[in-house]
Amino acid sequence: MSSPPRIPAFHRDAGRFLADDARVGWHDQALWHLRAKRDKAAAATPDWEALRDHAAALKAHVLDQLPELWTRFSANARAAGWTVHFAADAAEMRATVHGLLTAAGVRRVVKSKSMLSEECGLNPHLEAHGFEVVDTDLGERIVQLRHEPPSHIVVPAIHLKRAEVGELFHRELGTPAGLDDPTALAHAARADLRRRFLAAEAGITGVNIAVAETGAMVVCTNEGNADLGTALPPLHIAVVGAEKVVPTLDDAGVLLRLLARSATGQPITSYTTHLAGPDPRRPGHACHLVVVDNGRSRLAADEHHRRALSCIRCGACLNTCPVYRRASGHAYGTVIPGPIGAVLAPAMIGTAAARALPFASSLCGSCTQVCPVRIDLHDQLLAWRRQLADEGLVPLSKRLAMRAGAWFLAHPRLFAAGGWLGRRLGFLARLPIPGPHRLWLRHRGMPDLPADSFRAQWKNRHG
Amino acid sequence: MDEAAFLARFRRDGAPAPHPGRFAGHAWEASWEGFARVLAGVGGSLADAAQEPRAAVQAAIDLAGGRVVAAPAAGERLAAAGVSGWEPAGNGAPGRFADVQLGILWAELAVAENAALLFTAESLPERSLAFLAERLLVLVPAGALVGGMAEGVARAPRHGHHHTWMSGPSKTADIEQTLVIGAHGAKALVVVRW
Repeated sequence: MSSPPRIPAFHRDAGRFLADDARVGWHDQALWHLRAKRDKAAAATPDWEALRDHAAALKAHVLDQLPELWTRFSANARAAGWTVHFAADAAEMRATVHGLLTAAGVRRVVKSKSMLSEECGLNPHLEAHGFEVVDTDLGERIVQLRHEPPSHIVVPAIHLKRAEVGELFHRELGTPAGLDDPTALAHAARADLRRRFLAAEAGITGVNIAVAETGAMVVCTNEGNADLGTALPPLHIAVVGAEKVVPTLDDAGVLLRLLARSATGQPITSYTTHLAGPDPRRPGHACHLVVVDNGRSRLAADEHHRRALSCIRCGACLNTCPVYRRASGHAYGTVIPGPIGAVLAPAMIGTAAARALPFASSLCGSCTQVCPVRIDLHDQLLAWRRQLADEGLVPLSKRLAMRAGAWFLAHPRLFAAGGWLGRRLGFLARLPIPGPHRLWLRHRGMPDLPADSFRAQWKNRHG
Repeated sequence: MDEAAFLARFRRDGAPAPHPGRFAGHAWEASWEGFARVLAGVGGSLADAAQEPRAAVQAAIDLAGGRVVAAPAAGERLAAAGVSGWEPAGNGAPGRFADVQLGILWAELAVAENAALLFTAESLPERSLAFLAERLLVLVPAGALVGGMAEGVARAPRHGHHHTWMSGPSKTADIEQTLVIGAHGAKALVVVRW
């Protein structure tokens, strides 16, 4: 979704991450820890499943009513003093933001986390034009200083160890060599970023929810960076995806009850702020809101996949995905990784560029089980596979293997003979195998094969 | 691009899926014990009800070790109660609170479900105080507790420039999933029933 889109080389990049056994194990556990916290929060919320049902129905309504909701939003937002802009694609979004900063004579910008700005390549664009753009979410700041993209939509630096952050901060922020205590590192970043917040001439934020009823935006953080970035500089530019509007504040409340619990297991983010345009107490305070399409209208018109636009970016499907947890976000090569990223990518950057991603899943369905707005993620991945096959985008080796498998399974005697042979020669599968498929057996053991076939066992038990 | 052309891209034929109405979920109990438990879980604390609120606030101010600033709605109560050692937020550039050690705020509502405290343009006209102060002391009227967030949102203002729900102090777990309190905003948050 960044521009230009690079072809996801999922296998190569996942292989690179998998080469470091210790890191894979740690990454897997760190994400599972988030999943466990989500489960605990869900269990402590008696109306959890009804809440998910309600949110899914709300999002279905929203996706059918986007023009009406944005019309209502715009009228109320303009009354509140927002200047509302509409951008067809990433280039127009970048040009709009660039133009606003130039017109205001701004050079120093603080930014809070916005997956949309990552999607549109806003930072590289502004930096190339001489703006100082500082990401202020701690994880985003870490990956910005490392000149790499986030690997997760909620915890952008989850792929890094504390020692790596310590080395980075020693080099970039002058912290003592060898300092790797997370509290000390986070407070060093706080001191550095506090200075930048106070000097910033503009703040750019994403938007978690746009509320049509109030003409206001809701932004959620745990750090307070979006609040500092909007309360201090005289210019605020908010960028929002066209799917992020809801009819009423009560509707926003439903999503707020789901978002943080699904993301980190918190009952709500530390800060949830509702902003309606410029502050009347601040002379010269200017607020702009840029509503962005960038492929969303195309996805909204796709009957099979439009539900993916319900996503509230909680990251729960990433945290639970056995493939994401072991491959890491960078392997996906897209701004949004994990199951939701693999569902969005073919629609947003095209099936050819994203052809590997719908296969980066075991189709276990865990993503669907945790999605707070009940997106049928694993069904969508399967549907994309079907479409990729129809478009001839599945590699020849996979097509031949599938054809051979179908033929084999359609011949019961052959299947039985194959099973007999497999039970005797199954140990061969534990031997190292050459070629690219050896990666398949890394971090994965073949199960023990039973002495008898399923049919034989059935016959023994039931006659 | 033009708004009408932009919105036309999302227009659909046929009847839209209906709005699901208001969510009638679990009836959360409006209990301070529940609020305190959740608040502790998100890194904040509730002052002991046995301690007289005025004395609790005065003790916190005396221990602040630096500048103490009260938002207008809190300041009114402190002045009326004869609490000393603080200054009013006043007017000026939003960055003027950068060296504040203790910010004292007045919350209009507290929610037991998620320990969220509501601040509006009325109670907190200058937002930057809440995010620049090193630590926060939040006064909440004892009768302003509701059970669930749905009820809280229903009572939040539909007008006015801003409102913020705050649940505990600022935090991050961006380095190795280790919880650090005080990422950008307050490093501590204590709630006093007033």
